[in-house]
Parts: sequence; structure tokens; C-alpha cells
Amino acid sequence: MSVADGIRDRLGSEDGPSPGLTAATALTYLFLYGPILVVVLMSFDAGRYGLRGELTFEWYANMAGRSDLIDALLLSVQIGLVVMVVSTVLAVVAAFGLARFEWPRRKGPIATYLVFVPLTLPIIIYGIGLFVFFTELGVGRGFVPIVIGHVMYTFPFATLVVAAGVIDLDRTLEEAAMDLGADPVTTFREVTLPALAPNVLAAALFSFTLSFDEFLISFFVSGAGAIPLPVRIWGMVRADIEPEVYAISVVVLIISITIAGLATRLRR
Amino acid sequence: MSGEPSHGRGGVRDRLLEWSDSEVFKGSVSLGPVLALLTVFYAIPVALLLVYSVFAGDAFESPLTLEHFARFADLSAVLSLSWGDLPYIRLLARSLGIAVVVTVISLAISYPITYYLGQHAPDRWKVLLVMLVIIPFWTSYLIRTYAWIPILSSNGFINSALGFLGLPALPLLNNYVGTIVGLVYVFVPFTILPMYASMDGLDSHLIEAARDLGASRWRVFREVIFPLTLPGALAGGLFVFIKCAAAYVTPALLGGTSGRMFAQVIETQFGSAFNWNFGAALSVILVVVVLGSLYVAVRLGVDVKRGRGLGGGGL
Amino acid sequence: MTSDLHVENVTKDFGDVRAVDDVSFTVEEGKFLTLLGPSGCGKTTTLRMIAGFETPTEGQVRLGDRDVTDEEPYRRPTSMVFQSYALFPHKTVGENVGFGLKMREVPAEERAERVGEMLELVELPGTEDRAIDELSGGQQQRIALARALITEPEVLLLDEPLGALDLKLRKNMQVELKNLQEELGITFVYVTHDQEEALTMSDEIVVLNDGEIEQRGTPTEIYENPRTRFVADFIGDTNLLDGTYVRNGDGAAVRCGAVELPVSPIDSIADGTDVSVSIRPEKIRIGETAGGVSVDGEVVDVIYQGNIAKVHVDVGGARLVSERQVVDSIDLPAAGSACTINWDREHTDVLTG
Repeated sequence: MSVADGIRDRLGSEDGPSPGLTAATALTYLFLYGPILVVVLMSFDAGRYGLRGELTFEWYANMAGRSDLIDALLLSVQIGLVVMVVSTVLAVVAAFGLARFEWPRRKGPIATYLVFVPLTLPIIIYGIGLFVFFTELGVGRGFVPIVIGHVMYTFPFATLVVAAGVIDLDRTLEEAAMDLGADPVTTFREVTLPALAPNVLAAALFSFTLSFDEFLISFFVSGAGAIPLPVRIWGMVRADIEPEVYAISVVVLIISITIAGLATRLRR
Repeated sequence: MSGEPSHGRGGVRDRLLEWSDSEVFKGSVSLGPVLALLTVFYAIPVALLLVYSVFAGDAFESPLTLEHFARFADLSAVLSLSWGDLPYIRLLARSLGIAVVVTVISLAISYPITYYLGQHAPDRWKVLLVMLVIIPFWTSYLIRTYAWIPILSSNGFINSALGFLGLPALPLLNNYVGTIVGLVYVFVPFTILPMYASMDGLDSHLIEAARDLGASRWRVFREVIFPLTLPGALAGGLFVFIKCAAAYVTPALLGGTSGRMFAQVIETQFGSAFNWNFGAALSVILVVVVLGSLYVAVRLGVDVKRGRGLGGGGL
Repeated sequence: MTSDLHVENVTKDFGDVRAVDDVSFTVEEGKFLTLLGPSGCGKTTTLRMIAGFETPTEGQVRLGDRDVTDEEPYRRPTSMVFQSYALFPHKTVGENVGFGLKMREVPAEERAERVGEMLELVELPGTEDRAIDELSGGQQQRIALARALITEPEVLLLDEPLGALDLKLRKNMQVELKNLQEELGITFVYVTHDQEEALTMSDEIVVLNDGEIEQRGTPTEIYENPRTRFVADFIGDTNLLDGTYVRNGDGAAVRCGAVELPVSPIDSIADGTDVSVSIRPEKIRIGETAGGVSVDGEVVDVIYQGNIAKVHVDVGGARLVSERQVVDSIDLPAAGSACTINWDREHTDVLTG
């Protein structure tokens, strides 16, 4: 390398990113959001089998009139709400167990891994296992199996979010409350829980959005009477794309992006 | 005024409070129910597959057999191809090959953006930019996958653009290209997020020092950035790999025949072939591959914790 | 009924580590006692046992006649001011200060009134509705104090409460805290590693080291008559010399190398025992010979520090530092010059520990 190159290089390091780096970053964002924008675009385009360039609201109107889609959407919301409540309660309990309980040596990591196994095994394996399990039990498919599957799937995430808060929680706050006369139950209600509120709320929102968007588990354990929206969408895109799917997808994206955005902000 | 709080002393509440202070109580109450639920509704269902995989028919009622695993490993099938479908063992090999390709591409995509976010992003935009990476992670992967159909199809966005430029159309959908593009799209946040954490924690003075000592941009990357962000990259890459190895939705929607992957034949055994025992055996093999990769990675020193908990998207 | 605080033979083990080892002391009602020592000496653990956050492995904590050793913190008439203040971030200033009264089910109106009074006492009137993070460090400190005092505790426990404040604010708060304590007549147990803070505020100081009490006494006793090497060294600056205790007839001396320093005879020390001596720098005069102990030496270094100067004198191989007020810098001796140093015999402290 020549001296001039060296000087230029050194000066170059002072003045921010190189144009190549900025361009690569911009392209990555385009990659991440392009397909989402395509769905939005297609939902307003009149072309049934490709972009035609004509604005239409026909697909939204059709969607609103299709009871199968609206029912599936409402079912997904219902499942999401139930899963959210159960998963969050379990997560708070488990987070305290993991973060506060003084484990006998060696057993701590085991408990941690047990809770987080669902995060690493393939979801499809779990979906199939749950399908076999409920079939063997004679329960069949439907609302309850979906909720159970989603709770098992969401609560490890929720636990991580809450546990991070428990670990960060300043324990002297709880001591201060006790010192001022609050018994453990009151301390938990007055100090611990409010201080953890952002994490608990984030965990609840994450649980909802994960359940709301979950497909594979639902795919195996949902039945004729109870088809959540992602399974319905799957049916639509597997057959022949009906443009209404773009419209309902935009609704789903708005819901999950809003909730995920809120939850991400809360967790900070 | 009394200096003493007005709690009733003695009685049930007191004993409850005392009991609630013991470690045994805390441990069993906080994790007991959770572990019980996980056992009943997670461990048993997954274990059921293991059980099914070693019976000829109905679990515990038919003879024990290893025929399903033998069928998976049947090399004669490799030679005599029936209706153009790959034998199972080769399909698994191809799935793992696709997973490796997707992992490498994801890492390649992740370096520039995480370097930018970690070292160059203006402070007031940084939070927003990072959030923008995380958000797709938490939104429907099903929708994000099928969104590629209008982009990749023969009359889709890309081929229309190529036609407009007078170039020939490319087969991008219903083949392995579709599978790979879709998988990279869905899983790239798994490498971006842990690598961002490494890049953000990288002291920019190290880079300046290397530059000051005369290293070119490329040398700075090789000598400083790469080694220091390797732990994050390995953890993220590992997760992309194990998630891809078990991918179902993306190859099913975008992959066609040449992009077909292992999890699809598992689903077939339960969905249409109704051969639960064979499907269970294939599931066991997939789990062994996934856990085996994790085990090997951990033994090689990959810090798995960096990748865990990023979750998202039901993958 | 008096409510003196008794800490009796208290020991605390954390696993294999003994944090506090057989510590006993009594604080009379209304007194200001400081637990002083370096970090890890067991002072905070001792305080936490008084508060009830830790249970002693052995020993007792009593308030008057009441044994509180195993009593839950929320039942004890003690209040604590935490080093980090531990103000509830999700509650307003008023809710923080009123928390203890709320726990005691004091009606809202009375609570509001007393919160107002308490805020006036700490000179932050009218801040009830402010958020905690709107306050400066010094203001947060006052709120923490108000919150702890509002329940009218029998004993107020303070764990390095001024540690996070800057030097000037700390000095002001030391005086204010002391005045407040005298005004309210509440027993204060104060933990600090800052010897100057301890000397300024305390009625009595307990010096802790490695979980054990080194010495207890009034600030003057601790400073003027340290009994161990640790105390002499930890509190203030001093000249520490190692030597041998020798008896000669009716008198006694400590032989440090070539010099022999006459001391008052101490019956408990046998002839020939290894001891240390401590002489505070400000007790050593230069250029005077009248009375006391006089030693000849040579000035090796003069360090000018504005209002004072430190003169290092070599005395037969040992180095002694004399500290003196600087009225005029011209009066300072020059390095290399011969000089005589002199101090009163009772200022030579013989240390056996």
C-alpha cells in the first residue's frame, strides 16, 4: 500500500460509512420490507393474476363479506387472548422460579433447559406430536388443543422477557417496601409487579402476536369447526391465490406489526 | 402512633408467609406447575413420536420393529427411483445442504447491515432502525413467505422487470431458488440480531487503532471485526441452520419439486399417506439431526445463549 | 421503657464465608452510632441484620427488652435509608414518602398532612406530585430520608446514604443529618467507609475490620488513642513505626531502629514485645525543643499543599512526617537541612494489635 493510500484510508475512516456499506444496508432493509409492501400493493391492485396497475377496493369489500375469513380472524383473536393470559401468568411464575429460586447446584441449568427446549426443537415435530397425542386421547382437534399447543409454544418466549425484568429488578426496592411495613404479598403487589409491568405487558403482547400468527401447530390440531386465520390463509394460497388473501393479510400485518412494535418498545 | 405495622399476628396468614419463604416452597410452586405442564403437553407428545417410530402399527399393541428406520436408510431406493421422488436419505441430505446455503447467505447479508447499525448508525435513528429489523421477525412468516409468490412467479415482479429490460425470464418459483430465497428472507433476523449485539459492543477505537496502524478496510474486517463478531455469527448461524433443516412452510409454498425438503415428507406421512409409524421415525431422525447439530456446536464452543430467545415468527 | 439497641455476639456466615464475627455493641436511645470500616468489613451485613434483611447465624439483636433477631423486617420499628435510595420509580414523591403510613393503614387525609410536614422537614415542600426521576441526586436523598422517618422509627439505619453525592453536597448533608438527628432524638446507626464522615457526625464509632470490631469509642478516642495498627492507619494520616517495647527502670520506651521513643509504661505489655507506635503528623512540631520527646533528624522532602505543608524528616533511618499550617511559605524548612522535631509524650500511641 502506498503512503497516499494509507493517508486516504485513514481519512476515510473518519468520515462515516462508505457508500457501499450504506447501500448494502439500504438494500437489506428493502429486502426485509419489500415483500411486505408487495402484499399491501397487491391488496389494492385490480389484477387477479399479477400486477395490473389499477386501484381497487374490491378485495377488501369481498373480504368483509366472506364469513369464513372473518370467523377465522375472530377465532384467531380469541385464541390469542386466551393464550396471552395463560402464557403470561405462567411466564411470571416461571420467571421468578428461574431467577429467584436458589437451585441446588447442577439442577438449575437442567430446569432452565427444560423450560427452553420448546425454543429449539422444530415446531413441526411438536405440532405432529400434539396431533398424535390428542388423537390418542380421543380429544380430536379444535379450540382447546390449539390453545394448549400455543401456550407451550409462547410461554418460553414470555418467560425470557419477564425473567430479564426480574433479574434487572433492584431488590433494594422490595427491601425498602418491607422495611416500611409491607408484608411479602403487599410488597409483590405494590412494588415488584408495578416495577415489572413493562416486561409483563411486553410478554403478554408477544404471546398474543406469536399465537395470532402461529401456523404449524394450528395446522395439525385445528379441525373443521375451528380453523384459525393462518390455517385459512394457508388453504387459500395453496390452492390458487385468491386476491382476498392479500386484503386479509394486510389486516393481519397491521395487527401484528402494531403489537410487535409496542412490545419491542416496552422491552427496552 | 404505633411504630408497628397493623398486621394481624399469628394465624393462617402468618404461617403462609413463613412457609412462602422456604426455598422448597419457592422452587416447587414457581417451577413445579410449569414443568408439569411442559411434561404433559410437550414432552409426552414428542415422546409419543419416539414410541410410534418403533412399533409396526398401533403403539404398544403391534410388534416392536426397526423397519421404519431401515426404510429411511434403504440404499436400494437410491438406485431404483420410482416416480421421480428422491429417497428419504437423499432428501435429508439435500435439506441439510439447503440449510447450509441459507446459513451462509444469511451471514453474508448480516455483516454489512449489522456493521452499519453497530458502528455508523446515527444515535437518534439507531433505536428505530434496530426495531425495524426486529418487527418482521414477529409478524406472520406465512404471509411473509407467500409474499414472494407474486415477486418470483413467471409473470411476477422480477421477471416483468427482466422482460422490460429485454432479458429472458428466470425460473425462480417452484424450485430450489424459491426455497432458498424464502428461507433466507424468513430466517435472516436470526443472524442479524446476535451479530448486531456483537457489532454494537465492538469498541470503535479498535477499528480506528487498526486503521491507524495501516490496515486496509479488508484487513480491518479480517483482523478485528470478523474475530470479535464471530461468536454472535456462529450462534445466529447455528439457529438458522437448525430452523432451516426442519423448514416446512417455505419449501411447500415456494419450492416445488426441486426445492422439496425433509419436513414435507414427514407431513405427508400424517396428512395423506397415513403411515404414522414411518412419519414418527422420520420425525425422530429430524430431531436427532437438530439436537445433534446443537450438541456438536456446543462442544465446538458455540455460545448458544447468544442466539436463543430471539424467537419470533413461529419458526 | 428505653429502647436502646443491643447487638449481642452476632455472627453471620454466608456459606463458608464469615461476614460478621461475634460483634457486640449497644446504642443508647437517641445516639448517633457509626459503623466504620473498609468495604467487605461486615458493616453493611451488620446493618442488614438490625433491619431484618439477614438473620444472624448466631447472636441476638434486641430493641429495649424486645428480641427482634428473627422478626420480619416489616414488623420491626426500624427504618432504613438505602445507599441507592431505593425510591419506587413508579410512584410519586408523595406516594413514596407516604408508603410506610399507607402500610400502617393511616387514613389518606392524615397521611397527606404528615407527608406535607415531612417534606417541609427535609426542605422540599410541595413536591408531592413530582416524579422521582425529576429530582436531583441530593433531592432524592432527602426524599429517601423523609420516607424512612415518616413512620417515626425507633432506630434509623443509614447505609452509606451520602455515597452517591458530590463532595460539597456531602459535606452539607453531613451537618444537616447530624442536626436532624439531634432535633428528632432518634437513634441513628450509620454505615460508612469514610472516616471523615464518621468523625464529623458520630457520638460513637465502631471500627470494623474483617467482620470483627477493632475498636469502639467516641470520635476523639478513636482518633487520639487508636488501639490497633488498623485503626491508626484507617482513620486519618499517621506515622506508623514498628519497634520493640523496652522497660528501663521506672520508664518505658519503644525502640525503633536507632531511635528510642520514651512512652508511658504500660503494665500489660511485657518487656521485649514487638509493638507499633503511631504519631499523628499534626502533633509533631519542627524546630522546638521544649518538653516532650525531641529527636534530631534531617529534612528530606517538603510537600506544599496550600494551607498545610508536609515535612518529611529522616530520623536515624525512620521517616516521620510532620504536618504544619502554612502561614507564610518562607517559613518552611529546606530539604537537606538538619532539624529537631518534638512532640508531647502522650501523643505516642503504642499499638499492640
